[in-house]
Amino acid sequence: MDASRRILLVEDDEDDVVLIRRALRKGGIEAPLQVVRDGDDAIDYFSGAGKYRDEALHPLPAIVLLDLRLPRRSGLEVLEWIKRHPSLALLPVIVFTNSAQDTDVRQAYALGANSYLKKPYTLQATTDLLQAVGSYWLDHNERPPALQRQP
Amino acid sequence: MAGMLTSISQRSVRTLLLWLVLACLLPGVTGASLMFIHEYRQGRAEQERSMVLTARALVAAVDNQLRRSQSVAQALATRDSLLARDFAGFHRGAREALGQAGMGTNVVLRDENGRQVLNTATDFGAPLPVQPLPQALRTVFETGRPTVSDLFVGLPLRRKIMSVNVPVTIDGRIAYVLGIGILPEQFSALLQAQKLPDGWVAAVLDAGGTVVGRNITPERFVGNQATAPLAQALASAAEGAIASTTQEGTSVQTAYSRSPATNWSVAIGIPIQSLQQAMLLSLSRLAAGMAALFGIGLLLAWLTGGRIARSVRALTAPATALGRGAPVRVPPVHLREAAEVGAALEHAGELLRQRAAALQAREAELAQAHTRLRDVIDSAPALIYLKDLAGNLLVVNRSYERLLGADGRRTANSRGREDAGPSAADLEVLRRGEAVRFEEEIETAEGRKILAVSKAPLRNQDGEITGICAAAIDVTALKTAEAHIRELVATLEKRVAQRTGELAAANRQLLEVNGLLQEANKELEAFSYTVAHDLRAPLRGIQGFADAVAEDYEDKLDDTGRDYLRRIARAAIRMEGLIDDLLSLSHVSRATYPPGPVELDEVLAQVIANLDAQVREIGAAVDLAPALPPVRANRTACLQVFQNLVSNALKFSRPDARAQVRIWAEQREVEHIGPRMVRIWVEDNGIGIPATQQQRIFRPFERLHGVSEYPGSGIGLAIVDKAVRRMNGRCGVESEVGAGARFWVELPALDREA
Repeated sequence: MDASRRILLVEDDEDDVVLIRRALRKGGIEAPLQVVRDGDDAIDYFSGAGKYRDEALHPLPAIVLLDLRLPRRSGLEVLEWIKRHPSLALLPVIVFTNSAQDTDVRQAYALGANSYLKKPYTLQATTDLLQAVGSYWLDHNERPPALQRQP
Repeated sequence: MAGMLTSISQRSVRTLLLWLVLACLLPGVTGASLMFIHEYRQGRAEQERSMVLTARALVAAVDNQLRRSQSVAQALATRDSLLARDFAGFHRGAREALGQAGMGTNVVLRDENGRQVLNTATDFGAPLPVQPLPQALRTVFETGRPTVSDLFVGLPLRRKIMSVNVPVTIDGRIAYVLGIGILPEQFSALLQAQKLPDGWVAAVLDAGGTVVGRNITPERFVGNQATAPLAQALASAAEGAIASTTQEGTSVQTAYSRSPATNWSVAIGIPIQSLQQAMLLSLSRLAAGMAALFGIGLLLAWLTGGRIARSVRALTAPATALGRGAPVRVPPVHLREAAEVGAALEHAGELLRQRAAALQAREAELAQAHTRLRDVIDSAPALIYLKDLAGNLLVVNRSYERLLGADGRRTANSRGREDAGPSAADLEVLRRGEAVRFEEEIETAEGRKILAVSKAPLRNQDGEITGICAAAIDVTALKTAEAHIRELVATLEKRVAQRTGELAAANRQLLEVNGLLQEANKELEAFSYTVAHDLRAPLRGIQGFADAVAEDYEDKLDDTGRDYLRRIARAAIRMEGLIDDLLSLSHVSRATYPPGPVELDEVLAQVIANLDAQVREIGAAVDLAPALPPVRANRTACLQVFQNLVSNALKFSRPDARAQVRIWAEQREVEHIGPRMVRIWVEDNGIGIPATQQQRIFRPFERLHGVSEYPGSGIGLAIVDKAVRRMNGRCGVESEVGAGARFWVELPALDREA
C-alpha cells in the first residue's frame, strides 16, 4: 500500500475503529490506516514523542480523521494544537464525530478544520461516506507541501 | 435764563447791524485816507520833479540865449574892421549885424581901463563914459575867455543890463573887450513865453543871485537879490525844490536849476495856497463819498434791522402760546430763520398736543390698571397690605379687612397690632432690605389662625425703601393636614422599612433560586451534550454490527435470525430519532430567539418546500392562504414550529381520505393590554384528537398512538409549545375525533410603525 496515502484515525471507540476499517475495506480505499486512541496519543504522534519516535514507522499522514469525544484531551484541543504549529497547520484535518451540534461545528471550523462529517448510522452510509472521503482527499486533493513533525 | 439775561448787555438788532456797517466801512475809510495821503505826496514829488525839469529847460533856454549872444559877440570880435581899428566901420557893421541878429541891444567895446571905445547905443563919435571895469570884463582881460556879466547899470543909457563879453585880440594881445548887452526884458519875455499856469512865479537869476528876469512884474523885482532861502539853496546844490517865499512875500514851493556853464539859475515857485486848495478839494470829495457810503450803509442796516426785529418779535406771541399750551399760530414773516423757528414752534406745539393726548390716554390706562390691580388684590384669598416706614397701613385688601378689619384693630396678639408702628418683622425687613418669611398665629374675626406671612421692602425708582409690602396666607388647615401627614409618614416609614426587609429576604431567596437554575441549566447543557455524543456511539455500534452480521453472515442465518437483526436495526433507528428530538427540545429550551420582523408567507412556503417529499408520498393537498400578516418573532423558531405542525398534519391523515392541509391567518382582537396578535391556523382532515387528550399532546413524550401506527417521538408538539412561548406567543388545538384537527399559533403582530 502507498504510504503517502496514510490515514491517521484519532478514535477511542474500538467498535467505531472496527466499523471504519470494514467500511474502508468494503469501500475499496487503498490506504494504510494508523489509529491513535486519545488526544495525548495524537499529539505524541505529531511531535514524534514516546512510542512514535521512529519517523519511518510513523510518518505524517495524508489526512487526519479526528473524533471530538476523546479521553485525556478533546478533539478540538488536538485540532487547535495542530493548527497552531506552522509546520503542521496545513495538514488536512477532517472532523469525524457523532454529533453536529452548532457549537461544535462552529468551533471546529474556527480552529481550522478542513471538513466536518457526522458519523452515519448505517454501515452502508458509512462505507459510502468514507469512499467519498478517500476519493476526494487521497485521489484528487493536492497535498500541501513541506509538512514536518513538530517535536 | 433770567440771571443770564441780566448779566449781559442787550442790544437791538439795529444797533448791532449799525455796528457791523461801521466795522465793515472803517477799514475802507482808513485805507482810502492812507491812499489819499500817499497819492498826495506822490503828486507833490511829481510836481516838484516837473517843476525842476521846467526850471532846467528854462535854464537851457537862458544858456541858449547867452550862447547866441556870445557867438554873435565872437563873430563881431573878429571883424576885420575891428582888427584894423576902423571903429567907424565896425560901428556901422556892428549895428547892422545886431539888427540882422534881431538883438535889440548894443555892442560896447572897452579897453583895459574901462574906457568905452565904441558903443552902438550912441552914434559914432558921441562922447562915451568911463566906468571902472566890472569883474566880468576884467576876467576877460586876465584869462582871454568869454564871460557873462551880472546885472549892472549900463552907461550911458543908465538902465539895468547884462553883457556877454569876449576878448578882441589884436596883434596877439587882448586889446579890447567886446560886450553885447542883454536886457532883463529878454529873459522876462522868455519866461512869459512859457505860458506857465496862473500863480506860478518864474525868475532868472544871474551867477550872483540877482533877479535878472521874471514873468510877473519884472519891472518891480529885476535887480533884487534872491530871497534868503533860495539863495541858500542855490549855494548848496545845482538843482532842487524848497519851500520859500517870493519877492512879494508869498509862501511858495520853489524849484530851481543852475546852469553849470554860466552859473545862472531859473527858479519857479508855486504858491502853497494853491497847492493846498487842490488837495483840500480832493479831500473834501473823498469825505463826501465816505459820508454817502456810511449814510447808505446805515440806512440799509436800519431797515434790515427793523425787519429782523419785526420777524423775531412776531414769534413772541406763538412762543407764549406754546408755553400756555394754546394752539400755536405763526404769522408770515420775512426772515427765513424766523420762519423756521416759527415752524419749529408750530411743530413743538403739535408734539405737545399729541403728548398731552397720549398722557391723558396713559392716565386713563393707569387708572384702569389700578382698578384692575385693586380687583386682583381684593379677589386674592391671601391677606395683602402695604405699610409705610412708620408702620401705618396704606393699603389693605378685602381678605385683610374680613379677617382683621380695615384698620387692623382686630389684631390682638403678642406681636402687637399691625397698625401700631413697625413690628419686629417689619424692622427685620427694613434692616435686611430683602423679603422675610415667617409664620404667626393670631386671633382674627374668624378665630385663631396660622398665617404664612411674606414681607418684602417696597422700593422707589432710586432703590430706596419706602415701605413694606406684605402677603399672608391662611395655612391653618394646611398645618393641621401637615401634622396628620407627618404622622402618616412616620407610620409609613416604619412599614416601608419592614417591607424592605421582607423584600431583601425574598430577593436573597430569588438569587439563590436563580443560582440553582443556572446550575441546573449548565447541567442540562452537559447532559444534552453527553446524550448527543455518547448515546449515539453505542447505538451506531448496534446498528453497524447488526448490518455487518446481516451482510457478512446472511447465508448462515435462518429467517428468524434475519428478522431479529432487522428489529435490532429498526430499534436503533428509532432510538436515533428519539435522541434527535430530545436534543431539539433541549435546544429550544436553551437557545435564544432574538425577535425581528418575520414574513409568514415566506416561512410557510419554505416549510411546504421542505416537506415536499412527504406531500408527494401521500398525495396530500396543501392550501396556503395568500398575504399572511407579518409577525414579530424569530424566523428559525418559526420554521421549526410550522414544520412540526404541517408535518403532523400530513402524518396523522386518515387512511380512507386524501390528506388536506389548510393554512391561514387572522388578526386577533385585543383582549387585554398587550401587543396585537396574529393567529395562524393549520387545519387537517386527519384522524383528530379526543378532547381529553388535547392538553396532554403538548407535553413532551406524550403519544396518542403506538409507534408502529404513527412513528414519532412524541416531542414535536412540545417543541412547538416551547418555541411559541419563547416568542411571547401561545398555541392550542381545536379537534374532534375523526373530524380532523385545527392547530393554532398566536404570535405578536409586527407593528410596522414601530
